[in-house]
Amino acid sequence: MSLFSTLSVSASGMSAQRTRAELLVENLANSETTRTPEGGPYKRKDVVFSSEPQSSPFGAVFQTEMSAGVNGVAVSEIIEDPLPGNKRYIPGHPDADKEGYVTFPRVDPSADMVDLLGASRGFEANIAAISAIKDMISHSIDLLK
Amino acid sequence: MGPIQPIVAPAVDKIVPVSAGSFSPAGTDFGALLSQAVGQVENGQQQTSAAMDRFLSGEDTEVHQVALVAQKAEMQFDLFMQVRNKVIAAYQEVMKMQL
Amino acid sequence: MEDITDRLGRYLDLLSTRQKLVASNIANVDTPGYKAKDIDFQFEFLSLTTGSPPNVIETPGLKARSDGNNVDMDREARLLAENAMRFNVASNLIRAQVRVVKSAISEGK
Repeated sequence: MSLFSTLSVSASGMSAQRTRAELLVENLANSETTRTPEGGPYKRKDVVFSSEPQSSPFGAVFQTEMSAGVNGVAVSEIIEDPLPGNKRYIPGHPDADKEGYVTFPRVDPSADMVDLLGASRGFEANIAAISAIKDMISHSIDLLK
Repeated sequence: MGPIQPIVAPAVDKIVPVSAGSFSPAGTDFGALLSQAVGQVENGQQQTSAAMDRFLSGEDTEVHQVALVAQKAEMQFDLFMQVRNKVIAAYQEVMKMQL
Repeated sequence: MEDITDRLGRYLDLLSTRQKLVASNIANVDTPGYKAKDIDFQFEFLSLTTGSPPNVIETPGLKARSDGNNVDMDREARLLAENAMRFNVASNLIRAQVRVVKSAISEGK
């Protein structure tokens, strides 16, 4: 995996962080959603990252010695929070149950906001990596002149 | 005053004829130098195209590695051209001499 | 001259290997259980072997967080910038060397 293909490592990082950010935004937007098409309150979603070798469209199919240790990242799973939501006593609420409790999603907005910042920083860092690598490739090309 | 010494002819058989391709001022053999330079140039060209192939096909080589090999090959070629020009110039000088 | 460009070329090889690992570390900053990777730059450069890829090691001295990931983003960001700058310096040094040799050759005309 040469410097060129390493661009796809950083691109995978951007893609993974963006998916993570999208899910966090969805969680935040639905932190009070008590009714979903599937029935019941909104279930919080989370990403699972795993590191994976990246292939480049221009590269060899097999991993060369040069790609030792070089791995991108992928979203291996999106999991839904299986635990039941928090109940609040609101007897007049349209989604209240027989005892007058409404089940709200298990979303902690402040935690997800912090996570969102992390996703955003991660995203930016990958952009910085792409920029630095492009510079190095550009200097390499200058060597030919 | 001693007896008159006979004139001795120079040792004609000791004159070594100059063989083509190796007229040698100060001991350098231009023929060997040239073939060595040709070999290096050919080697350089081969290495360059091998590096380019590796880069284009297998992602096994970095751009800068190709560039360095190409630059070295180019310098070897430049050097070869200079040597060749010098050799030809020297040869022409010699040929112009009236013997 | 050959010797200097060869050493500078090896320096560039090591810098680009290191940068690839930095990019991987950055991409995997939030991957659970991922351990940051690097090369022992000094050792690899001094060992003078051209052509053989350097050994990838786990970056020593890092603290793992609760998800097992030990990537230090500050360190990676710093290395990202430093590698790129050193690459710039080394490639310009090579170009200067090449210019010197080429003009030496052509001065002999």
